[in-house]
Amino acid sequence: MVEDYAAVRRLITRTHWFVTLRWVAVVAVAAAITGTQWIFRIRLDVTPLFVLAGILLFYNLVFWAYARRLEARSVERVSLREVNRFANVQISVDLVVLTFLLHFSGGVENPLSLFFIFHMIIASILLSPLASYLQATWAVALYAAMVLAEYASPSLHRPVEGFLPAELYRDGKFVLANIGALGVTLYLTVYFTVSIAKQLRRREAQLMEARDSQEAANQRLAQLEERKSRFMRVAAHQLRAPLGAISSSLKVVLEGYARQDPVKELDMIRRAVARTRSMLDLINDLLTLSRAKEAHLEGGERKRFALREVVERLAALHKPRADEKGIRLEIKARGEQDLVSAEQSAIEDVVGNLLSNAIKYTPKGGSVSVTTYDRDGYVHCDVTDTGIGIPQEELKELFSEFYRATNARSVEREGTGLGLSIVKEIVVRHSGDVSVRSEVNKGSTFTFHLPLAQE
Amino acid sequence: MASAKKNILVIDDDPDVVEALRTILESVGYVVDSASDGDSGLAKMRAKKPDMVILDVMMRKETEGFHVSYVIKNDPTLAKIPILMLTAIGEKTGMKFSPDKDGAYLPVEAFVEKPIEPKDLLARVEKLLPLRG
Repeated sequence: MVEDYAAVRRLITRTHWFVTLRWVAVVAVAAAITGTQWIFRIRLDVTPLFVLAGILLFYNLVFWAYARRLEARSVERVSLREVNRFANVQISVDLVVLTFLLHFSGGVENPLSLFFIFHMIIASILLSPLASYLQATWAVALYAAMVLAEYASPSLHRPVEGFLPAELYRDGKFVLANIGALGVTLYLTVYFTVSIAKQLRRREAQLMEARDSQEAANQRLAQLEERKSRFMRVAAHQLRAPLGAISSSLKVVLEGYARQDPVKELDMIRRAVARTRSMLDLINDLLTLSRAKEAHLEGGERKRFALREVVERLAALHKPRADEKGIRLEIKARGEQDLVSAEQSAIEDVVGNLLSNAIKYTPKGGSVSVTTYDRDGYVHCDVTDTGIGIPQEELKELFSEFYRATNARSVEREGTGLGLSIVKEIVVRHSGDVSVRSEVNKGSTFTFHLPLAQE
Repeated sequence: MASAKKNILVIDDDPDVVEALRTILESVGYVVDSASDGDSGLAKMRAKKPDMVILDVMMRKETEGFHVSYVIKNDPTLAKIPILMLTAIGEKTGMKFSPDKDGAYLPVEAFVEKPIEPKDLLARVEKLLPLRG
C-alpha cells in the first residue's frame, strides 16, 4: 500500500505539537492549583492535585521522547497507523487525568468539566471521525463513572468548600442532567470540528493539486522552450553547411583558381546550384512543418473526402518515379468506409511523403504497396515497401525532427530529416497517429490512421 | 628531394567542399588526397603519410574532427604531421577535449573558419607547409 508520506509527516508534527501543548497544560494546572489555594484562598485538597500534575508531567516526558524518536525516523519507516495510535493514546490518557483532576476538585460541581471540549477539538483535528466519536464516548463514560461513583458513595466526593455548592452531587436529577449535557456538547463538538477539519483538508488538497499541476505545466513549458531552441540551432546548422559549400565552389571560379579548366569551372557552378536545391528543400520542409503545427491553431479548412481518392491520386503522381526504378506500385482498398474529415492538402502531404520515402529507399526491382482499410472507427493506411528497412534501435527516434536513420545516407546523402516529423505532426493534429514496423534489408511498413468521418 | 611534391590529405564529409579545396590547393602545386570520414582518413594516413592534414571539425558526429586530431597527436608515427582544422563560426565547443585525460588541450596547428576564403587558406597552408623547401 502506498503511504501518503506528506500526511504522515503532518500528523507527526501535529502530535508533537500536542505534546508541547501539554507542557503548557502542566504549568497551567500547577498555576491554577497554586492560585486557587493561595491567592484566591479557596481550600483545595492540593496533594492529589499536585500528584496528578506530576503524573501529567511524567507521562508527557514519555510522550515527548517517543515523539522525538518518531520524528527522527525516516518517514518511510513510520506507518500512519503508528502515529494514529500515538495520538489516540495521548488523548485517552489525558481524558483520564482530567477526570481525576475534576474528581479531586468537586466532581460534578466543578464547571471546569467544560475542558473536555478542548480534547474533543484536538481529537477531531488529529484523528479519524470514528476515533473522535469514540474518544467522546470515552470522555462521557469517564465523567459518568466519576459522577455516579460519587453519587453512590458519598465518601468519595471531595468538595471545594466555600466555593462550589456542596450538595449538588447528591441530586440525582442534577447529576444526570450534567452527564447528558456534557455528552451532547462533546458529540456536537466532535461533529462540527470533524466537518470543519474535513473541509480544510479538502481545501488543502486542492491547493496542493493546483500547485503540482502548475509545477508540471512550468516544467513542460521549459521543455518546450528547450526543444524550440534546439530545433532552431539544428535548422540553422543545416542551412549553414550548404551555404559554406556554395560559397567555396563559387569563390573558386570567381577568384580564378580553375581558370585553366573550363570544365572544372562549370562543375563548380553546377555543384553550387545543386546545393541551393537542397537548401530550398530544407526551407520548404521547415515551412510545411510550421504550417502543420499552426493549422491546429487556426483551424484549417477541413472537408470530407475519401482517403482512397487521395491515395490513388498520389500513387499516380509517383508512378513514373517507381517505374524508373522498376518498382512495382500497387494500391489495395479493403472495407467499405474511408471517409475522413481533414485538411486535404495536409493529408496529401502525408501520403505523398510516405510514398516517396518508400520508393526512394527501395532498391530497383522492389515493390511498394498501399492498403487502406477501416477498423474500430478509424481509417488505416499501410505503406509497405521492400526497401533497406530501419534498424530496431532507431525506430523510436524516427519521427523526431531532423532525424535521419544511419542507413538512409547511403541512399540519399542530403535529406532534411523533417519528412516523418511533418507526417506525424499532421496526423496527430487530426486526432490520429502514425507508427512503423521494419526489418533491416527486408522492408518497412508505415501505418497511419485517422478518425472516420460521420456520414 | 628539394622539389618533391607536398601531399595534403583533406578529411571532410562534404564532397563539394573537398572539391573546392582540391582545386585551390592543386592550382598552386600541392598534391591533394581526400577522405570522407575520420576512420578512412586515419587509414589513409597510416598507409601513406601526408605532409599535412586539413580536417573538418564537424562531420557525422559533433566532435569527430577533434577525435581524429586526438588520435593523430597521440600516435607517435603521425604526431608530427601538421593539422589545419576547419571550423564554423561559433563552434568553439569541445575545444578543450578532455583536458584531464591528457593534461593540456590538444593543439592543432591552425584553425580556419568556414566559409573558406581561398587566399587566406593558402596563406595558412603555406605557413605550415611551404611549397618549396
